[in-house]
Amino acid sequence: MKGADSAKNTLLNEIIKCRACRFCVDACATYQASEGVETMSAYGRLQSLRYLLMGTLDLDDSLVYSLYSCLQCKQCEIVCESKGQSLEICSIIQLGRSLLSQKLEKGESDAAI
Amino acid sequence: MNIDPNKLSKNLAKIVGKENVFIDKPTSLVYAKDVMPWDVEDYNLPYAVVRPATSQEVSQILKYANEELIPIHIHGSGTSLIGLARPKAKGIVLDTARMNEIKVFPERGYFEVGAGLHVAKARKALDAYKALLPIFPGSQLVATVGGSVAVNTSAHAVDAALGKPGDYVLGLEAVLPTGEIVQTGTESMRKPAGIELTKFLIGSEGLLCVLTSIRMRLIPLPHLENIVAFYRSTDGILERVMEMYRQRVPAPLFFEFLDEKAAKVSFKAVGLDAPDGAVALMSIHSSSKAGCSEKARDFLDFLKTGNPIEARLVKDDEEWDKIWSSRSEVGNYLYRSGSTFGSEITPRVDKLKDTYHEAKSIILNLESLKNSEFYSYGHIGAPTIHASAFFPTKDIPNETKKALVKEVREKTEELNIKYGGCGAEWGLTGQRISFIKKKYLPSYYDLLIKLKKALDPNNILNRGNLEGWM
Amino acid sequence: MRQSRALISEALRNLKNNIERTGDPLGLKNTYWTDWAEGLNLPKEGSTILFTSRMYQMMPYIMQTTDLISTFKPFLVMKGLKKVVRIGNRLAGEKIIRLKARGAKDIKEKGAKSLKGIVAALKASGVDPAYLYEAEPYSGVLLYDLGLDENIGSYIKKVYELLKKHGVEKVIATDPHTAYMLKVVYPEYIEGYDIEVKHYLEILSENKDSLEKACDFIPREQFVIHDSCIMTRDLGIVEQTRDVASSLGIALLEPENTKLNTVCCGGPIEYAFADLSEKISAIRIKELYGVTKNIVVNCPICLINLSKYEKQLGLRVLDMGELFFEALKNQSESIQ
Repeated sequence: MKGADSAKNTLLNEIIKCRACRFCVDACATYQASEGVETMSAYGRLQSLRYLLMGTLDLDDSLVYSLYSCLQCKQCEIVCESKGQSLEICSIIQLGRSLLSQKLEKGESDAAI
Repeated sequence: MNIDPNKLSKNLAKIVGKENVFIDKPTSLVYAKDVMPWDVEDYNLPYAVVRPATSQEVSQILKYANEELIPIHIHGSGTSLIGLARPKAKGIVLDTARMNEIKVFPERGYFEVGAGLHVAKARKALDAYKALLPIFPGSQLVATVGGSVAVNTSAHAVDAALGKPGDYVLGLEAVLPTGEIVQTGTESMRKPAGIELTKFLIGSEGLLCVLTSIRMRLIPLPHLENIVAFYRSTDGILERVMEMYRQRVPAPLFFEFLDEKAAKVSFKAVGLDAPDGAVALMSIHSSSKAGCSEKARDFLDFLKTGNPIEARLVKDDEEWDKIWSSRSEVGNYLYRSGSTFGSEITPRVDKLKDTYHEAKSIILNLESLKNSEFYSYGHIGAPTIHASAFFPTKDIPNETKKALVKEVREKTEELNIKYGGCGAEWGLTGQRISFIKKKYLPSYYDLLIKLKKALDPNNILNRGNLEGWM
Repeated sequence: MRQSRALISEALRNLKNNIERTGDPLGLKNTYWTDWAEGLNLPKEGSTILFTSRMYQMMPYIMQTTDLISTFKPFLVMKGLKKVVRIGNRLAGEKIIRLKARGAKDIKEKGAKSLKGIVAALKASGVDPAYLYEAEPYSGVLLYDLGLDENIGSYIKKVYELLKKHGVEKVIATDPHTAYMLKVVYPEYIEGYDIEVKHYLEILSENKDSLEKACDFIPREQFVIHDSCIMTRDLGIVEQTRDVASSLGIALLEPENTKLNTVCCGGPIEYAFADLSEKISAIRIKELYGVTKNIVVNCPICLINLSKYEKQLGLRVLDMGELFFEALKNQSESIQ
């Protein structure tokens, strides 16, 4: 599980840079389309992923919906960069998906990474 | 308290519809988390997040909460810098985002806006009418009008030039903690004199009501002229601010600064040459173009009597955008690689310089964690000193982060007490309770408790903020 | 949100199995991706190839499958969902697929027209690419987006080897997702990656004058451009779209959120979260038709996602390829 461990650490080290300023929230097309539910935003997705990796959250329907409803359109990255944080949000979510897709595809019920 | 989340969800769904109630843990977590740098814990996580669209729905939710004695935490943007947004007792988070309509009535001289509308969107809607939104939080992309009025924050604006958002509020629609819907204020251009309820609810920080709709005056967009000035040291800028008030020079709408260290970081980050010394940025405003030019010229002359390295008008919009963004984003450029802990100090104006140097000394000599660096930037002309401790790492344990916030808060608030100030932007509950107890004496705090109990006997709204819980 | 975990698990399994079985993300056995090129007699080998990655060609079959799923919506319980997806898969395995879904035939025509138009435009600019026909592989972009990491590395290597075997040195991608995969992602997995990758708009904008000379009609309508998010924010292709349109005599109108600030059409999540995807596209289509009723896109996913509003709102949604097709047919009337 060495690959998964290093991916997990990479993710945690990257996501900690998000200081939850929430400026990306309004920019997300899924946030606008869901009438303003905050899980449907880069902030929501990054924090959900972080707390999943920390073991606080489970890989349940809500979490899968959050992570796999990202359009990967990078609108959030434009805002994040303009505000000086410049997180590579889409790559982070994509790396998160690669950790989780193996589990989901195999139908594993154990959520821990 | 034993809450059955499914039963809770069903009861709330009867009020707002099941698509507007969330009981899953990820949603609870996303709404509970705020900008405070320590992790969310279980006691912060709400049982449910509910999203009403009208004051009637809010009213039913509050009535239900009072029956079941479940705390309600109001969620606007979640961007409070003194920790007001994070729930401190398990309950229900009430998200105001669906109350986001704005209606402009030019013939009546006012507009009405839902509490959940983001400030930037409200501003854009008013731009179309060439009307000013007198609310300038740095977080305007996500800050809500409701939150801005509930805290009554001056934020970036210089009070002497603009006043506070509450000054422009003609009336409110709000729901009291026990569920009654109240309409306050007036529809006329003259605000009521006397003991009128609007004044009690503006700035009530979500303790005395849930704001649902706000009626504000339509005022014309002012003309702006921008000035940048470089001084050998921050002292030069501090002296100008003090002189400005002493001589009663008309204050600019915005009067920001970056200290010598912060200026180098932020200017380089936006692709400008690192400046010598400290930088001051001002926006002069006036309702007339000619008046604006004259005011700007006069202010420039005033600045020059303070021996700057350079002081000039910035006519090019692109250049101004860059310079301005170096100030507006400086916090992020510093946060990016480390952790910062800020303060809000608003001294008596003639004590500005003394306060600044004492603040610097406090920050450089913290006990919770050694070796902080000192940065200062912000609305110095307002005046506010946002003295910040900076640690070049994110790797600080949660408990140390909490201790740092507490220490910075308590020590810098001593300066507010010593030099007669009270802050202007972030509110007075949450992490500032120990400050107001010290500044205004226990009897003042007892009065607040009495007021809270009178309107919210079951302590339903934003429980923990008046208590000063972390 | 309900059953998202089951839904995504199933989608991932199907995608993986389809690719393993047939090399095609839809698991289709017949070589549906060559129909458009019938009669064009493009060379089958060459150092420069047109690479469609089957994206335009897939659209009608995706429509067919999601249409099938939507008819089963009332019965979407755990067992029902799995059953429906399996039915969709069985369909995909058939040699001849009758496109019964409303609009699927139209989309097939639009896709074919777009590709033919792109080829015509390239030829008019002096570029004659080859086309691998049946040998053309899928780029694997869905495997990458969904994080099927175990499989993507070996898949990319297979595609690269196939391209090298055919002597390919330069790839002209016909859509932004393919361009992104081959230009940005493939080099991460292949050491010494030596294939030059361009999106056709980059080539056309370099040869604007020849393209302009070849077109001899100017449409009377006005068009608003919907930029693909991948095109602008991932590939940095912004002005080329405008330049190429102007060589066709079209001054593209800009919608409210445009260029680097373009708003996603919602397409990338339509396979799993159709309701959310629809709400996203509804917001965007409103922004677009607020400018004018004729909308131009430069991505097949945007095309399928936005063209479903054509009949409903009386709009026209055209791919840039369709514009080239009309412009180079030497017509003097406006587009019918």
